Amino acid sequence: MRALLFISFILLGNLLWADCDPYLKKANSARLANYKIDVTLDHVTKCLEAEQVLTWINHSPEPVDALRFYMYQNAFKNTETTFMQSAEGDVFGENPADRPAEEWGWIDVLSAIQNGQELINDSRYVHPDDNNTMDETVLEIPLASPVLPGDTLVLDMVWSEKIPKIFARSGYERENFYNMVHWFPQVGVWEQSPEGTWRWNCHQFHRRTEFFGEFGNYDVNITLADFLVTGASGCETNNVDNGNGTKTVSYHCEDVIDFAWCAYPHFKVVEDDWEHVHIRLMVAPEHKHLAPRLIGAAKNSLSYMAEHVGEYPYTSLTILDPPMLGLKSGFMEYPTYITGGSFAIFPKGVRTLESLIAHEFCHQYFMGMVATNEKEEPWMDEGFVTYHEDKIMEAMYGDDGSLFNILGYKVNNASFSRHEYVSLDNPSCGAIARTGWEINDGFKGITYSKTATMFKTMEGMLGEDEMVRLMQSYFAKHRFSHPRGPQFIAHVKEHVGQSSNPNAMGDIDRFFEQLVYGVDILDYSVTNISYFIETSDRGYVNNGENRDFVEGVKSEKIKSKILVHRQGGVVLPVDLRVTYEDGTQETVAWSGEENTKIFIFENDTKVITAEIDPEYKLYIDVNLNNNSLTLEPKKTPSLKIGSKMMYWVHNLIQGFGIFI
Amino acid sequence: MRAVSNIVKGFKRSFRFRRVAGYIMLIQAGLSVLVALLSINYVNTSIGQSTNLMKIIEGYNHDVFQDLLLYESTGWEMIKTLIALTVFVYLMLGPLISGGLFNAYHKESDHWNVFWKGGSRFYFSFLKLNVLILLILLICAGIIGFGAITFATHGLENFVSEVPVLIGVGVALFVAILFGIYLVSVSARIKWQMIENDDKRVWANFRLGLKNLKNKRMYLVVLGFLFLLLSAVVAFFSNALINCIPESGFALMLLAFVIQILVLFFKVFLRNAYQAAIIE
Repeated sequence: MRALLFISFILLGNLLWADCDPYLKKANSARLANYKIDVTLDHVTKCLEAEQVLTWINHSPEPVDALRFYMYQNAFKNTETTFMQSAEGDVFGENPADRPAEEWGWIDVLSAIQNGQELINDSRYVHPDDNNTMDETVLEIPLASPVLPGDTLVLDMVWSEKIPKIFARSGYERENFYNMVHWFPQVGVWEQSPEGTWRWNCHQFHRRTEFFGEFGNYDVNITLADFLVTGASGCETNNVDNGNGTKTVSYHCEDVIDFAWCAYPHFKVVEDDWEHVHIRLMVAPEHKHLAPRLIGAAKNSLSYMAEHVGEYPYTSLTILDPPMLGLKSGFMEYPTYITGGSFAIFPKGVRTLESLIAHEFCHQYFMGMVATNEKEEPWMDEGFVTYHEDKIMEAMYGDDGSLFNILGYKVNNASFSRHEYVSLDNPSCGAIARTGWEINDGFKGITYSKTATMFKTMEGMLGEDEMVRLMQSYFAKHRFSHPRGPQFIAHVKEHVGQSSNPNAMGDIDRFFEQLVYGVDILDYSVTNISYFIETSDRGYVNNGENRDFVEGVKSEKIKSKILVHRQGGVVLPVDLRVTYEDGTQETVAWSGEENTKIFIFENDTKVITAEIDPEYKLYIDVNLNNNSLTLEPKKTPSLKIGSKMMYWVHNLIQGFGIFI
Repeated sequence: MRAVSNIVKGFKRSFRFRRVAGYIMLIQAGLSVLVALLSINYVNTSIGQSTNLMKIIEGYNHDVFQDLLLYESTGWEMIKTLIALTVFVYLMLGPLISGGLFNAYHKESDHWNVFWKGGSRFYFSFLKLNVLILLILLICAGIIGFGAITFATHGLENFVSEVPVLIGVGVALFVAILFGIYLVSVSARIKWQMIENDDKRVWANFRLGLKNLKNKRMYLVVLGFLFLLLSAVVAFFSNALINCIPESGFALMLLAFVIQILVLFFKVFLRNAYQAAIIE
C-alpha cells in the first residue's frame, strides 16, 4: 500500500510539474535569504501592495542587530537620487526631469514585525556610498533582538509601491506592459570583509550596476487582472481564477539571488525544452516569428555553458522579448529570467539578437551562480560573460562572421569586443578593476570588452583546452558563493601552476596587475628589417712600409637585423618569428621588457618577414597591424583594395548619375 | 507591355551606340580610378609591409580594417573627401553626358564630335534643369520624409507594435522612389525635347514638358520601376558572381577586376537603354 502511495505521489508530481519542476533535486546554496511574497498589482493605479515574509539565517559568528534592504524602486522617486544624479540627465536618451508626476515611482515599507514587535518606526535610510540624503535606496531596520550566530530571523513585512513608468528596466509601459525587477525590499549581503570584520554589503542603486544578493528560495504569489499574461523567475506552480476579474499566479524558485517577473496582455508564449530545462519565451506577437532564433540561441547557450563551464542546475529559463514599447526593459539578466531586445525586421546575418540572448544567459553563471558583487567588481560578471558570449557565438556560427555576416561584411564577436576596447577615445582611461560608480568613461569598452579581450589573451597563452579547464574549475569551486577578484586570480595561479605548462602566462600576478588593475596598453611592433653580409679581417694591417691592405673574408652567411619596439606599458612574454627567403622559419622568445630591442639572425638567406606574436595569442595588443613587417611591401592586397574601391565608387557615381 | 517593349527597344538603341557608352564609361572610370590610386597609396604607405594585410586577400577582416582606420585615420579622411569630390564632379559633368547621349540619339551618330557638341551646347541649360529637378526632388522628399518621421515618432509612442510604423515608412519610401523615378523621366523627356527642338530655354521647356507628359505619368512610373527592378537584378547577380571568385591570387583578382569592369559597362548600357526607352 505504501509503495502504491509512493508511486502515485511520484506520478502525480510528474503530472503536476510535467513542464517545469520547480523543486531542485538538491540544495545548491546555503539558502540564507528566503522570501514568501503575496503581491497584488493594481493595473489602474500602477501600484503594488504586498505582504512579505523574509526568513533570514545568520551564517556568521557575530550577532546581527539590524538588517539592510535594497529599496531600488526609490531610485525612481525624484531627480536627486544617486541613480538619477549619476545618470546626468540621460537615461536611455531621456531626461528624467521631463517626466510628469504620475510616471515616477517609489516603495515604502509600512510594517516590519519581528516576534510580534513592530520595527519600522526605528528604520532609517542609509547612504553608505555617497552620503546623498535624498537617496532612499538602502533601508536599515534595527532589530528588536539580535539574530545570534546560526539563528533564523523571520521578518513579516508589509510594503506598497508605486510602479514607475520604465526609466531603465523596471516598471510599466502603456498597454499594461510590466517588467518587475528590483521590485521588492531585498535584504543585502551579510559578509566578511577582506579585513575580516562582518558587515552589510548593501550598496545604493547606481546607474550602471545592480546585483549583489544572497541565495535563497522564493515563493511568490502574484494577484493581478486576469487578462495579463505573466512570466517570472522559476516555475509557475499554480494559477487560480479568483472570479472577480483577477487571478493569482504562483511561482517557486530555488537557489537564486533575485526574483523578477513580467506581465503583458498580448504576450505569445512559446515553450520548449532543453534536457531538464523548460524554456518559456514571452514574446510580443509581432516578434513571434523570431522565436526559433531566440530559443535556438538559448539552447545553444545552455549546451555550450553546460559543456564548457558547468551544469545549469535550474529547471527553467524564462526569456522576455519585449514589444517595442517596452524596449527599455530589455537587454538584462535576472536569475532564470532574461530579457532580450528585438525588432520585427531582423536580418538573419545580423546576429545581435542571438548574441544578446547568449550574453544574458551567461549571466546565469556569472553573477547568477558565481554571485560576484557587480557593484564593486562589475568586470567579474560582465567581463566573464562577454568572453563566454563570444565563445558561444563562435561555436554556433564559426569564427568567420559570427556576429555580422551580411553582404560580405563579416565580424566575429571576439573581434567586435576587441574593437569596442581599442577604439575607445582613450583605451587607458581606467583600470578594469573599479567599482561601478567610479567608472565614468568607457564603461562597456573597459568592463565588458577589455576584460573579454584579456580572457581571450589568456586563452591564447594557455591554449583553448586549458582555458576551458580553468573556467570549469573556477565555476565548480565558487558556484553559489560570492568570490572576489583576488580569489579568481589565486585560482588562476593555482590552476595554471598545476597545469602541464605552468609558465604559459609568465608572471601571473604581473599579468593581472597590468591588465586588470593597471591602465596601460599592450602594443608591440616590428619597425625595421635590414640585412648585411659580414666581412671579417678586412682593412689595413701593420704600420709604415709594411702597411698592407687585406681584402678579408666575406662571410657566407647573411645577418638580418630586426628592430622591435614595445610601445605600450604592458609587458607580456611574446614570440618573434622570422621567415627567411628560402621559406624556413625561426622563432625566438622575447620577454618584452625592453622598450626597443634588436634581434640578429644569421642564415644562408636573408629574413624577409618578421612577426611578433605570429599566432595572435596576445589579442589585447591594441594595434595588430604593426606586429609584423615584410622586407618588401606586398602589392597584391593593396591592389585588391584599390580595385574594390574603384568598383564601389564607380557604382556610387552611377547611382547618382540616374538623376542627371 | 508598352514599357517592356520600349525597354527592349531602348536596349537595342543603347547597344547600337556602343561608343557613347564607352565615352561615359571612360568618364566614370577616370574619376573612380583616382580614388583607387589614392586607396592603393594609402594602404601601401600605412600597412603595406604588414603580413596582416594578406588576411584581406581572403575577404573582409575586421581586425585589419579596424586597426588601419584607427591608427591611420588621416589617409582615410583624404579618401572620403576625394569620394565626395568625385561624386560632385560627376554631377557637374552630368549635363555633358546627358546632352551628349541625347544628341547622339537625335543625330543617329555615336561619333565623339556629336557627343561633345550636344553636351557642350546644352551644358548650362541642362545644368539649370538638373538643379531645378533636384530642388523639386529635395522639397518633395523632405515633405514625404517629414511625414514619415512624424508618423514613425507618433507610431512608436502610441502603437502597440512597430509593424505599422515599418509599413508606413516603407510606403513613404516607396512613394518617394516612385516620385524620384518619375522626375528622372520628366527630366530626360524635357532634355530630349530641348535637343529635338534645339531650344535651350529651361523654364519654357519645363512647363511644356510637364504639359506634354500629363497622359504619360503612369507609363513613366512603370518604366522607371522596371528600370529599378532590372538594376536590382543586375546588382544581385553581379555581386554574387564577383563574390564567387576567391581572389586568393593575382590571376583571380584580375579576373574579378575584369568582371567588375564588364558589370559596370553593362550598367552604363542599362542606364542608356532606360533613357532611350523614356524618349521612345
